[in-house]
Amino acid sequence: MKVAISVNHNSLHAKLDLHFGRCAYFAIVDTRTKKVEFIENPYQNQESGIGKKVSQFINNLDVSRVIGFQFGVKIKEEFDQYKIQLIAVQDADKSVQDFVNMLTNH
Amino acid sequence: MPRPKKIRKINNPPKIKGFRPIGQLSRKNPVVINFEEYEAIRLCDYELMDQLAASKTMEVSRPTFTRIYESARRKVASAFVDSKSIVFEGGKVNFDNEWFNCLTCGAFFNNPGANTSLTSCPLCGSSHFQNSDLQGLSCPEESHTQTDLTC
Repeated sequence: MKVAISVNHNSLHAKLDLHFGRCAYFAIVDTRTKKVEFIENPYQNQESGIGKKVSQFINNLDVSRVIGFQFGVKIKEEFDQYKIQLIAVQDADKSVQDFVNMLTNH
Repeated sequence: MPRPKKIRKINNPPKIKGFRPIGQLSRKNPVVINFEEYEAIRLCDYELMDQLAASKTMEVSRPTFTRIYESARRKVASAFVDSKSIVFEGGKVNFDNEWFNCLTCGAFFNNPGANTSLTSCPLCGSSHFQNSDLQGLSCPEESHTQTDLTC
């Protein structure tokens, strides 16, 4: 299963980006192989309507869960429609590596 | 001990965390407007409902709604007059949604495939989680960290 994490740069030490849709990178974690892949967010600098585009983009990556700091009302509706589970972690100190450990240790 | 507050129902939580006055940096002593007070103003003055209909929407009694609404208006007035910033936070509320809160790692998560029920936290795998609807959101006096989810 693949999990997308919105992060501020492309390393395992990267922290959660506080604004989901405008994060710099998405870390795509494969929970089976523990592989992490960083994909640049193509919509980070667009002015409006990014919720729809970002959720579509993530859906096309075959992701079934998404981790972010918090989610707005509109983007939640978009992800609901793709049946992608949202996980809001209000802890800006956790890094990608922490999340990989948490996701794979159970 | 006072009677516990009934849980108020919120349909649309605020999209932002608050307001700041222009031309003056006053981050000190912001006016804290609860989600229920925000919702009262939204229902009454934006949706133009009367107080009886609004109280039914929030599932509280009409006099209670009036108290919430009055408190909200007074807070807004005090923010305007004393040029204070406004922060939306806390209150005994229940969002109309399906968020869960993991008691082990503290993550909030939802269940978009509503037909299957969740057995463990998707992040840490713990089975200690609760529906955050039941617990309401904690008051700002108790916690400053937990309340900002817009759902």
